[in-house]
Amino acid sequence: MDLCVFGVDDGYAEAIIRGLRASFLTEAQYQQMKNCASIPELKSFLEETDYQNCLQADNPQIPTSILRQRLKKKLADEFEYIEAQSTGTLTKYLFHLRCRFMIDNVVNMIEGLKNKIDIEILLSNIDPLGWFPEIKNIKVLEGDDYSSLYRDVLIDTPIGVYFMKFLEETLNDIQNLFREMKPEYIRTSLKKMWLEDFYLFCEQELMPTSQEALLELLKFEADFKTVQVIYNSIGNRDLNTAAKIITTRKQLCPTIGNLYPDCEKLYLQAMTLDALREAVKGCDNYRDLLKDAPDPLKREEFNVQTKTLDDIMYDDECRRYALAFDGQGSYGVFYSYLKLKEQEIRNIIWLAEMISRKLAKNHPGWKKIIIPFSHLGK
Amino acid sequence: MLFILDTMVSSDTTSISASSFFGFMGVTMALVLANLGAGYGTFKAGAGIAAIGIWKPEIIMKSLIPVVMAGILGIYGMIVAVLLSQKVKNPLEYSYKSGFAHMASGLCCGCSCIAAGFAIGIVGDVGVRGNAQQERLFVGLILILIFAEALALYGLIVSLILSQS
Repeated sequence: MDLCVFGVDDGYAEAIIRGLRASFLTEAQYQQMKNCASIPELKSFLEETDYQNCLQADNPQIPTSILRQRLKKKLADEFEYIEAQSTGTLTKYLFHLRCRFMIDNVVNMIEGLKNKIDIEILLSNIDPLGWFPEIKNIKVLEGDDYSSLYRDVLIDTPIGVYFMKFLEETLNDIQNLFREMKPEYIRTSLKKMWLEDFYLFCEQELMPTSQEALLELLKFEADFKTVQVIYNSIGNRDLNTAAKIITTRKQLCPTIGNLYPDCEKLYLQAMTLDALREAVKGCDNYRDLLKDAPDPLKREEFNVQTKTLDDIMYDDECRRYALAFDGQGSYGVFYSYLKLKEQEIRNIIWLAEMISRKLAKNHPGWKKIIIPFSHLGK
Repeated sequence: MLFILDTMVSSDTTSISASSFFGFMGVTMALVLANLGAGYGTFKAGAGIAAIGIWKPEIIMKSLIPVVMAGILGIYGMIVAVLLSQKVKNPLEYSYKSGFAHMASGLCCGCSCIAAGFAIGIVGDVGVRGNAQQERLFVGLILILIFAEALALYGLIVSLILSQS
């Protein structure tokens, strides 16, 4: 029944997204990009697509990092426009979506400050989608005083609540936390908490049609994170005792999704790829996905040609987001748009890197891009 | 108004009965509720077709089957309404039993069609989306839709029986 009243509040925002669907690059355009011989050629090609305005001010030999910033800024501007046109629940939802990028930004800034990188450089490298006004206040006071940074600044940011939960879970002192813990660990834990919080928000505040699409997508993302955590911790040199492995996994695996709690015991104890495959056997098509995954214990033998677990998972994710994009009257459309546009930016940057290294055309790396909306219509 | 008061006061042998009200409500219920069910089925299934028609235009015509089945529910309602409207007569010649029976008949058909419409709408929506990804779902989808349509048919049969009395 909410199909009838969806258009009243959220119709305009959804209509903009439908229009933006046409801005995705097609397979033919990707082929043309692959045939570009140099970065200036790629830049002039991109200026003929939807990205025209954002690249005009730069010189032709644009470095890849600046290219990435410009593309993300365009996405951030579009998203800001949509957020401004939304009301009520949709605004809260879109803001919640952006918190994921805020987590990335804050963790990067703290890492940069730890390594004494200049704050101006850090501020220019933040992801524009995760911009919030308080980010300018993050600077370390004299003597590496992280606890006062936390008390005064981080608590007030929109993601302060996740830092609080993280501290409660790890029962660690703030100083030691930022000084000793690896940023990847902090980032994964915070994102896990964000995902669970977002899932709760979707369950409680959204209409049934949106929930149908979104809860499935979020459960799938949680399962991916779980599989990735287990996969990365198999044969990891830093985790040498079994107990340490299990506690780390328990802290990093999300508690939503199809794999929790049915397969929890199995996957927490999986020490080889086959054990992991056994653990996820019952769910969906995860078994097929893991069938082709390379063995993590032989990690040193990976080269550009191996299809890593990340590649397989991105592939399946893109298929699901493309399907969710076509659903009517649901908020899943906004989430899918964001994810697929991110994938497109990743593709463009990958191709830019390949072009700037002047690799031969039969190098397997050229095939490593995943084109959004290419899984449909087959 | 004065006529009714007049007859009540003058205590005639023939009394004004409200039986026609029930009879005509039966007509209304049959038509309106059946159309509500048909409308729900059409819009829910139609949204699904719009979603998949973008990237798989070949199966659009096959996917229209749920919409057609939802439309049939409206026809059931119309049959019962037309049949009943010819049987409802002047309150003076129309017994209460007939009035109640015809109302029951209309409600039977209308509510059954709502139930069938909900089922066809939701199954049609999800079914055509699934059919676009996996062609072999089609036969199963049609079977489910037929069972859902059967509910409205049972309602129609009982309505027709009730309308005879």
